[in-house]
Amino acid sequence: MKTDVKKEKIPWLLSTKHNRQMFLRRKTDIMMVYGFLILLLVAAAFSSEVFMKPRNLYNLFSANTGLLLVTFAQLFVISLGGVDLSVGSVISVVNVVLITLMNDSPVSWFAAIAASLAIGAAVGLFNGLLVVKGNMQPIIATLATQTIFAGAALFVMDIPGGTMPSALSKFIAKGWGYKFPMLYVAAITAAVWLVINRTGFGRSLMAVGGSEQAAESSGIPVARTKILAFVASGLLTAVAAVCITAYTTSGNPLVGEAYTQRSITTAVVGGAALAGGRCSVVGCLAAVLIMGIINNLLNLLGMVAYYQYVMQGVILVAALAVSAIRIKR
Amino acid sequence: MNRMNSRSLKIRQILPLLMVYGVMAALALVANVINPGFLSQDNMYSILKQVAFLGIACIGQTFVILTGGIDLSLRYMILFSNVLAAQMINGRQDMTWSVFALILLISAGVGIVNGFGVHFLRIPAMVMTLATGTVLYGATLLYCKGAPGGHASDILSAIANRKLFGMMNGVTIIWILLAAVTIILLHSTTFGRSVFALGTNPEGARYAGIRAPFVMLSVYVIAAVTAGITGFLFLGYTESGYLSTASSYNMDSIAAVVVGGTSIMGGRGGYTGTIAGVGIMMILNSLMTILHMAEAGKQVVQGLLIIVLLVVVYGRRRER
Amino acid sequence: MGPSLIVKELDKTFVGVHAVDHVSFECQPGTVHVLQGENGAGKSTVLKMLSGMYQPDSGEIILGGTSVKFRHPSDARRKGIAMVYQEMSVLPELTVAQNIWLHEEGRVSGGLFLKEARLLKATEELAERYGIEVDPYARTGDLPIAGQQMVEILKALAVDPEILILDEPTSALTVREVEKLRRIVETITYAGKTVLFISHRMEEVFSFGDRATVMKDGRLVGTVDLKEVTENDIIRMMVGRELEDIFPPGLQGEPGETVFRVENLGDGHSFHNISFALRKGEILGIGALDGQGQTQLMRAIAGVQHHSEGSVWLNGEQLNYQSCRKALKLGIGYVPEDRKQQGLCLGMSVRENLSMTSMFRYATFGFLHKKKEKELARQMIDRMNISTPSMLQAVGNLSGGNQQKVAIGKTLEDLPKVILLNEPTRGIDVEAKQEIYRLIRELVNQGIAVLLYTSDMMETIGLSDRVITLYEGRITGELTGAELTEERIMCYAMDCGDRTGAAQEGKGVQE
Repeated sequence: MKTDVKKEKIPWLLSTKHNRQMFLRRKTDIMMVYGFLILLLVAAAFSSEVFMKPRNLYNLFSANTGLLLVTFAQLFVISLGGVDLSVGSVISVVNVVLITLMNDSPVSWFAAIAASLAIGAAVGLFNGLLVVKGNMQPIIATLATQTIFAGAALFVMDIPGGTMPSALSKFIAKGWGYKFPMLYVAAITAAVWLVINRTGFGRSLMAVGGSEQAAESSGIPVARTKILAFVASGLLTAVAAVCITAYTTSGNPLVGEAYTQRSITTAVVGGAALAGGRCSVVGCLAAVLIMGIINNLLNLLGMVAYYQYVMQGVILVAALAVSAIRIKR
Repeated sequence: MNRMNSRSLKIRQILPLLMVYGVMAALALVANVINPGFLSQDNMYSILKQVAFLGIACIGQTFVILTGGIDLSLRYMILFSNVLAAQMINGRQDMTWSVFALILLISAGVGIVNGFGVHFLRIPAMVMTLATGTVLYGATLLYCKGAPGGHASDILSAIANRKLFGMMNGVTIIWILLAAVTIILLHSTTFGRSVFALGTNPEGARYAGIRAPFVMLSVYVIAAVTAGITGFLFLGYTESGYLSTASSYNMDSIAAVVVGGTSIMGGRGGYTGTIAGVGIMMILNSLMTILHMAEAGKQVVQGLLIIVLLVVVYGRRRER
Repeated sequence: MGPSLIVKELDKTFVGVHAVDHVSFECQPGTVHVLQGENGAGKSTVLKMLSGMYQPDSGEIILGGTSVKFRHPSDARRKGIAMVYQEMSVLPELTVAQNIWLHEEGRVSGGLFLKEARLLKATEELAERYGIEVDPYARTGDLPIAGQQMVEILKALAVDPEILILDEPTSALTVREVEKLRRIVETITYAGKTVLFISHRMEEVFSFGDRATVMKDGRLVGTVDLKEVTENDIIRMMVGRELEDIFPPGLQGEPGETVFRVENLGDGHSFHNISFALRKGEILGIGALDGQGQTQLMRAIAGVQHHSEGSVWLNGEQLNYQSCRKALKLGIGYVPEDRKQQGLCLGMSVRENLSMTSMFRYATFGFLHKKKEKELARQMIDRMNISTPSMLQAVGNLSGGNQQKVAIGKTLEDLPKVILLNEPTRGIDVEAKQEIYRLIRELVNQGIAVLLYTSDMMETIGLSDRVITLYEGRITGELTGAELTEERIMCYAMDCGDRTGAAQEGKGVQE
């Protein structure tokens, strides 16, 4: 065996051709998503004068923060190899609870937000326990709880109504000249990235999603990891719900409905494998932006909203087909 | 080989099925105790009507889930076919069958697209059908410009509303026929066996000489076509096209199939169980309506029931 | 120095099955201790109790003089017992370094957050210590199976265990890597540690092991010093009776006419210019190290993958087919090497599996012939001596040997004229192996042409009447009769220059 080869201290990315190739290969999906995003940005800037105006960009940002956070929530469960069908109705529940609990006193604001987070964590725990103790597939467990939470939302508020105090909603959605939302979105993104890529829990998550059996025999606490993933998902969903409520400013027991499908879409376009064990926080960022820009652009161009659905579907298929064909080769 | 052993194994294998049918019967009896008119012919007629629609839609979902996939485009296929039929037929008797043929063609096309994406491009079924579903939804909105119109022809209304043999309508009879075909197809043909094999072990199925492309495409075509038929027949019931048509059918169909004992991982189960699953969901729904339960309560109870059934009936079976 | 590990009266019962019945043995430091027994003898259960996967119902595990209890695999790892599992447990999406330090990361990084650089450094140090070359940055799924197995072994070594448990570590390894493994094992035992070892390859038991404990039906048969016993002694202990002749008698006299032949077959990269003929009454073996194109060749003949050059002839007629299905229709049956992934649908019943291919033959307009299916299944279960409570039993619940019989039976039910067997005895116990040997011989005697590849050289020699050797996808020689010796075959299989014997063995190992 040859051990006399001296390994020099150079960044590993540049150390050998093989490493460079491996890096490129692993990140191709993400780079393609970003490439597409840049193309789209250029196209958008040229096709609409309004697009690049700060006001529109701020609007684009506010309209999609909620989706980004839900996508992160979804990411935790997708990494496990499952899918969380309940995020939509959890958003609805938190939304109506927030509106119901809030009045003009700032104390109630904090209480309501704290209650929201508690609800998020609790439903996550419930989902997690169903999966672990009830021995159910995540998709089935959350299909059932999805119905329950939707019912709960309707129970709290059966018709849309009520508003969030405008001081609070303005602060959450546009505080400090949009700096506040940008700050917390950046902070949450960084935190999610760190948790997934740089902690034992994140690694355990990928391990369980990759192969439960392998994780088990490596001594990873599978049950705890699963439950924690669902709790993380629930918490993030609650945070997302607060953002969404601040953006829409009103109570609506059906507000979350669309988010379940959209979050799955963006997570997958962002490079997560539905089979589990692989996901990308950075990719999600681009995927959410792509979806947001398309909707925004269609609006600006005065297209009927119906095209949005068609475009969303087509992009999803195209993104997946491209990556599927690439992998096959 | 031991005869007794063979028999006990057989019993153990069909036990979950017996339990689901038991639950369905028990639920019906409980409903009858709570509300003595429940098992009356009139009420059975209205329940069967609901069962038939969801039952037809579940045929495709059962096939797809057996192969280890899932069809989320089902609801939008139903909606599309429903809105399209309403607007194109618009009360004209003579258009009915040509529109029906058109819907069969379109839905078969959608099924081929789904099957192609899932089998050839290896896109996860959930995402592929989500994508086609979204496209279909957009197409529906574009077609009717956001406001569906038109109405059913007399014959369609008759199929959905004329009472036959006391407690059935035309849709129920169509469902029974389709259900029989489905069960035969699944359990007595090489096609059905291939579906199970592909759901259990796709690679192994290929080595055994099973034509995976044909089977997979067929499965998704069956799913889309049964959804198309559901939407078409639904028109007779709703009289006009509505955007809210079948809005809960994705989740309901998956729930019914899974409650009926088909494994979400594929390869195990069958339509016989799905029938009970649909029955349970609809009996429960009807009972709650009779009790004037609010929508909120209905949903909570339905979700809880799914959990309880899955834990109690299949809890011991380790799904991997 | 006292024993490093004492197992005392270990007992474990699963629902209705007494898997391990009061088993006791001792392992000495610095030795390789082999655990032997047929499949289902309870070896794996013992190892899983030692590694913390299962908890014993009663009994005691004494590690380095103190009694220990493990609640979890990580518990056992911390206390010094690490196990390399038979089922691959590496995660394909993670890099080699991440896999090796999975769950040890906190310790390596020394903090809440993982530090990739430290993992990489630790990996390099570890690999260097045991003389293994791995690329710590590589995505594990991109490595060949043997490379993944090495990662698996490194992962166990990462905790620097007192006791290293290897459960059939060589089944996925090539000759070269088995050599590497031998060096690793020597390094470990030299350091005074103990290796517990399971292998179904008898020659490895003797070349690796110092002492052996033999189990049968969950009970202890005895512990012996491997220097004092012969292979037959061990086999006798395992099955409880004498096995005079492992292999059935080979072909007497001349083989019959050619049934099947291929000419100049090639697929452009993994095998080239392959020609051979299968004759009546004769078993043709392929002698090759792992990965010399034999699997691709068999898959190409079976129609699973394409061949770009050459022709295939059956009974004097040229065949044209592009799919597995067509090949099966023409009478070419293939028993793939991986029965769980490729050969069987584990969740389906014995009957359904047996008729998986033949159902197309007996169906009318696509409708199954249930009566015939049942009848054929019953016949096949008798003929193959498959031990199952019922034909409705899910194949996944059968033992490995019986699963393999179903996999072969499924191919036979389709009445093939040619049958290609790829590793027909992988991971099954001695008795089941013998039944399969007998069966293969029976098939040839019935006029079915057989092409056989097995990585167990004893089997290749014992079963084949004629052997072609493959090296890098090309035929390097053909041997019959007295030429069939391990040395000769290895020499051709490694394409040595002078072809005189095993002297050159080291050459293949170094690369």
